[in-house]
Amino acid sequence: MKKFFVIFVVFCVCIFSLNAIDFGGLLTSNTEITNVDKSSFNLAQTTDAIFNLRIPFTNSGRSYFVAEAMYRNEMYHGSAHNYLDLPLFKANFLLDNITGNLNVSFGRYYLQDITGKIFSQSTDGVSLLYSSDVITSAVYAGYTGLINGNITDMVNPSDYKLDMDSVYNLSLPYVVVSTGLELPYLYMNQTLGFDFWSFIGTNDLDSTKIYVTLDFKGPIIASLFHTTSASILFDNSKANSVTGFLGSFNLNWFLSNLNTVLSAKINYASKDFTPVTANNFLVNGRYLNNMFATGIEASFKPKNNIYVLGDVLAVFKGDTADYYGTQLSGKVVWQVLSDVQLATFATWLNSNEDVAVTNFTVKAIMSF
Amino acid sequence: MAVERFMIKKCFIVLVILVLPVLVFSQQADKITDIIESDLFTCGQAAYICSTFLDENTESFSYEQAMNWVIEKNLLKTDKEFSMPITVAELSGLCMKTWNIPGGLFYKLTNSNRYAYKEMRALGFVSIFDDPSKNINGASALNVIYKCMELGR
Repeated sequence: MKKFFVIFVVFCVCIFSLNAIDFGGLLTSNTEITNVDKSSFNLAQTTDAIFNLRIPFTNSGRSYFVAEAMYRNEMYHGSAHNYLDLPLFKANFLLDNITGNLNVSFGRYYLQDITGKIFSQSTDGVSLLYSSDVITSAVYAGYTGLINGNITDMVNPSDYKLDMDSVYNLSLPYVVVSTGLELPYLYMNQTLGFDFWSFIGTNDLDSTKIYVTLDFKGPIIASLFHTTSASILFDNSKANSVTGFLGSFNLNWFLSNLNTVLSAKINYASKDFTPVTANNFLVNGRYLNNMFATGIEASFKPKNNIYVLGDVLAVFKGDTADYYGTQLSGKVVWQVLSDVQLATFATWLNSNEDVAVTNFTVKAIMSF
Repeated sequence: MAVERFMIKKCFIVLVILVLPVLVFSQQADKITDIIESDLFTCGQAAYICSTFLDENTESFSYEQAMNWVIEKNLLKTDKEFSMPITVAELSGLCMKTWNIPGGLFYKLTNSNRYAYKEMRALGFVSIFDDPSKNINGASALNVIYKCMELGR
């Protein structure tokens, strides 16, 4: 890691003479109190210090180099853990012509699949993105094995262990190949999207996961919008070959009063469906797997710098349709100043099968 | 004869009174045209617009006089001459002070052009792709200034 940072600094010094560097950073503090099954309270404190810089290559600034370095300190269960990460290290080049734009990016950066529920994390690779009025298409090739597994949560096989005491722990290694296509305003202002992602396990994984998604979104009437998607997973591993399904339907109603948005959501993940990135869907850490969840959400802005959100989710088991539990959550975000933000989150999960969880989080962010 | 001479004098004075404001305002209109057409918005031009907003008596100032005026009022932090191009960050700092835009925590603490630029970016007045050390053309600068005026109201 030391060598990597030295190379990074030398690279910056070389580039500095070419154009002005814009730099800055973020300090975040996340304090979480969790009560599991009405027993003891657990306190977790996470502090992040992030330094970022941006170097434009052209006058327009749309071809640039951008990087972010992060230090994290986590304290929970009476012990402290320190992590270092490089979540962003990317060069982007924009080539535009009459018909559209071509973005070429390489390095480490965040990307996600069309649903945002299967893969949404930083990874190392190269992408080509072409966008015009009639079509957006992208191809990507990358590798996940060099990112910090202690920062980025991936769905790991049970026998894949991470050393949580290590400052930097190499993550689950997959070769990632993807392609996507989006046709905006195809018919009646509806946008059709297609996504293909393959994750080829290296080392001892010997597993290949292929996700194919069809996505369909657009207005129904006036301020009522929908997003509908269906994903199929083909999972080949040494042990078995499975097929999984993920379906999602969102209805969003945008109202002008206080920037109110009312949403109804349905998500279904079959028993054999697993995402690649372990995004917590429920507060007890469960991601979308063997689950049917339906709920409503409401958000509004009582003032320009305050955002309030509340949602209720009813969860059932995906295979048997048995009732699993109900999750209630609320969030208030206050943009105190342009560079200071405070937020609180409260979530309560009452489950028939697992223990009840109550979580209260306070987050402060300051940028400089 | 004396009456005729008096009438001629009177007409001449009236004519001068009528034409003079046109000449004065046409000078100001010329300055604005100058600014709109300029490829590089200068420190003097920025100072002129801000000084005339704050004090109508400065409308007849030259760019150099306007520059000295804003420096005296601590509105502009720069070592440059009036004819040199102003950067996006310097323009942001000048606009923040001219229109009393509050700014974020670090702007309040440091009063620096860098954090003024970040505030302008947060407000959407300058693009996220803009380089703070970059020069700016007249039309784009007037666009930023107009948005600051609207916010300042």
